[in-house]
Amino acid sequence: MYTLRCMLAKPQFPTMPLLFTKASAVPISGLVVTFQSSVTEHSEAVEALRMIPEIDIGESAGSKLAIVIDSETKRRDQEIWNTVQQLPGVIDLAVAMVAFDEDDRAN
Amino acid sequence: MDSERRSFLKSAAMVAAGSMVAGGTSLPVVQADEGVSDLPVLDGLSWNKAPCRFCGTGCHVQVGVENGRVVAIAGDKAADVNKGLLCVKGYHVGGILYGKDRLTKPLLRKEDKLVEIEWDEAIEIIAKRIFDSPKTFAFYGSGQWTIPEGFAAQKFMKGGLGNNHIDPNARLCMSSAVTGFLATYGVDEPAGCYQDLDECDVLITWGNNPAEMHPVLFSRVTDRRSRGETVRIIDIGTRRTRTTDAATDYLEMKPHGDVAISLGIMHLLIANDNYDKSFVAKHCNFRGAEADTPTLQGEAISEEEFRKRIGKYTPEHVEELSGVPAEKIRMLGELFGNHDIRITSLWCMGMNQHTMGTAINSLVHGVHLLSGHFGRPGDAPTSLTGQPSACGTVREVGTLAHALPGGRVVTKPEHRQHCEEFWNLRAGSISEVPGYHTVQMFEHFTKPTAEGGDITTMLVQVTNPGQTLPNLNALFNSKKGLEDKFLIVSEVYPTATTQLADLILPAALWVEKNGMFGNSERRTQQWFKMVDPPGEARDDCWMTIAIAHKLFEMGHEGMKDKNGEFIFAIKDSDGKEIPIWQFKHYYDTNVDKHLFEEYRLFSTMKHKNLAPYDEYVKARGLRWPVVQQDDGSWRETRYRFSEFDDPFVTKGQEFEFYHSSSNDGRAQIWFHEYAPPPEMPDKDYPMWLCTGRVLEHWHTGTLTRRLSPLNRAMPTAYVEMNSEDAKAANIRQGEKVVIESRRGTCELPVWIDGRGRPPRGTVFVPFFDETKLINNCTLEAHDPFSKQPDYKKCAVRVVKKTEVKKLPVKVPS
Repeated sequence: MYTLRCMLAKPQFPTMPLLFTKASAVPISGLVVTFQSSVTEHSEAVEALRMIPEIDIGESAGSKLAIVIDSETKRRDQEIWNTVQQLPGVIDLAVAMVAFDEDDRAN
Repeated sequence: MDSERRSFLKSAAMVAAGSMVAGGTSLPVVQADEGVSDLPVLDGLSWNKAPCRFCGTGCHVQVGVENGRVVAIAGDKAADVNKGLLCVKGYHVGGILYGKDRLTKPLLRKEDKLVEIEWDEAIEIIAKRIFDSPKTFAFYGSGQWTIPEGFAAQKFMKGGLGNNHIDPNARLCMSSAVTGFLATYGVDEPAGCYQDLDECDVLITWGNNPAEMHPVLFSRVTDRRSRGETVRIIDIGTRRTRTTDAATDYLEMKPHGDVAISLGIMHLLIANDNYDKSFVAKHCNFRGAEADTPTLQGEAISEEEFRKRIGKYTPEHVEELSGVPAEKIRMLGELFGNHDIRITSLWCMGMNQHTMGTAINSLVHGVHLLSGHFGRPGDAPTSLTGQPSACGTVREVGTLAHALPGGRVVTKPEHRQHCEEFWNLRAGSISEVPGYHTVQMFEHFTKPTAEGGDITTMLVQVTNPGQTLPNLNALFNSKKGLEDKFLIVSEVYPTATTQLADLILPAALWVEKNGMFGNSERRTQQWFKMVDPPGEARDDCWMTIAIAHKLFEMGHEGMKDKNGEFIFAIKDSDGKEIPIWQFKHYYDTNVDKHLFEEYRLFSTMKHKNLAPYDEYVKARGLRWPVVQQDDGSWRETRYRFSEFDDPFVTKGQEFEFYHSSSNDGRAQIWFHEYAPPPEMPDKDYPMWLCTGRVLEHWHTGTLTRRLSPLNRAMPTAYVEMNSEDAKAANIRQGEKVVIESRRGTCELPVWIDGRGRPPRGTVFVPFFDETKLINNCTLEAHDPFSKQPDYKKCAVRVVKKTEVKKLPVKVPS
């Protein structure tokens, strides 16, 4: 858990300032995680996913695992996205569906 | 969002993702009507298809619209390109419509202030300037123009005004690919398709980073690996990238090293006598550049002469030129000499933004032809494009200064005649003189009229030259002494280009209008308008037609066809003209459909046959040539020039290059001598600068900088620097430095050994950030045939910000 928290806390680009801090949007996204090999061989990474409260884990087959992220802010959504991408064995994270909140405005 | 709705959307998202993992093997492509079968069904929510607005991959999305607003995006499972998946940019594509600073009213600069004006006034101002001086008007467009937008612009300029000063931003990103295809096959665009990625044993990325720039395509390869298939990825580049991370082999080359490497592979194929003699004897000629005035046609040389010229490119000599060890060159030679494997080469800007762009494109085609790694699924030389319709609009509609639709050129009388007949124009309406290409166009726009700067009015649509032109200080940044010049910019958001505009036109974006794109694998795609644009933003195609009609009203003869009718006239079923130049009537008919049906007439000469518009409404794109079958259905083509799939190959030929420049059905294997880059590091400017893109942002960031998650992930441009170089120069992580070239400067924070890892003596800067214009520093030197500038290599120095006025930091070579 400690490792996971560190990963979540780690900014993608630590030397750069954050230009936008407003938390407004609440996207719900259905994602497909692809591992280097069968999902069953990456139990540690799957366990790490389970420990993120905003993630629901769905069906898996072969090297692919379906997840849904339901986060409260766009920032949190991005953090989770980054965390998932950085999990050991993850080689790709693709989008199947995303639903935006009506107030999903940037800039 | 209420909790019930949220819960429902969560379930739907899980179903969508779950269906993508079912089976565990390669993702299935479902029937078109099943593409939305498991997407949420809610009152008021409707789904419709569209290609993604970003890169040239051409992923299809399903767009969820509720109450006139895009509220959801899903990968389209019926799309062969992406099989239901999207990358991080596709994930956010719906949000590009909703940045808070959308342009919503025409703005005219008056005494240095932008004031709102009405559309009628804006159109009148533009038409008057063109009417008063039609030959000094230029139209600068884009690979993001839809096909009908580009076709309307092309007809307006070349047919209507008899003015060929129309060129697209694609000149800056893929015109060397065009000249490479023309020089080799006599006709543009790849022979293969994305299926090559599913079937190759070896994938070679030549100065290409698809892991970040075309992630969905790259995932087709990594996905195969995750299923246990062996795919060897060989990354040839000037810096390590995310593609390198997935590569089996990384070959780090010096800038221009690709030319030497391709020559070295061909040398080995000849020296080892393992080239494909049968394929070469039946299907290829050898070609070299003419000594006096080189052309794309070149001159025939014998195989013996080719052997003689290539003889000096031994692995050791190639190592000297490219920096890649001789044994790695031998490894590539052995791979290409192995006829039992299938090899796909991929490239994009690295080979195109190159002062030897045409040469290196031709040489890599030559490697595949000489080795026979061509024309079977998995054996392909394939260029990718960075914009969604660089192929469909720029290369096929031909919105380049020398081109006409369907592969025609303005210099050929018969081609001009075809176009005049298709457009029902008077003979001689189209000028035979090529217009200014992009660099020339801006040189003439930024040069005072009295000094020969003979472009006085320019209309820019769907692109941002104020950020993307090379050497911006020379080609864009100043208005001094140019008071008589007039810049009109159609845009969706404020940009570096609108900053200098005299008139800004608010534009509709993506699903706020009808559209058609053509992607990197010859796939033509269609979508319908789904939501209204904000305020008074309007379609770019409408703008062109409205300007044309205003000129027609003013009596400009070029805006009339042979019968005296408006060149864009569309009539209803009663024969009454629909006033599409009035925006309130623009959608009384499907203008896109009318323009596309007219454009289709042009497509058969070069065997780029297109189906009727309504076929594209039903499909998730079709790859041309699309040919009607005996049963009335329309069949697309995956592999051109190969008998097994291309309907235009003569039966029994196996392969036929039916637009061969030597008129004998053969492709050309070129020899080009290696030449060094036009500017090299020296004692004053000791480092190489390479520019490019990042995963999170698309091109100049006009759209992706408005998406807060993407912008937060990558909020600012930076300079990637090697840790040893930084240490030697006493530069710390995150420290501000100034990049200086002979042309300009750019201040940036340093990212030492960041996402990409440049070798010593090299820095990399992405160009997405409008507040940090790295193109102040780049070089406008360009390829002699494609006129495409080289953004990938010039000489710079890195100066600590605190020492800008002192001596430059010495960086060891």
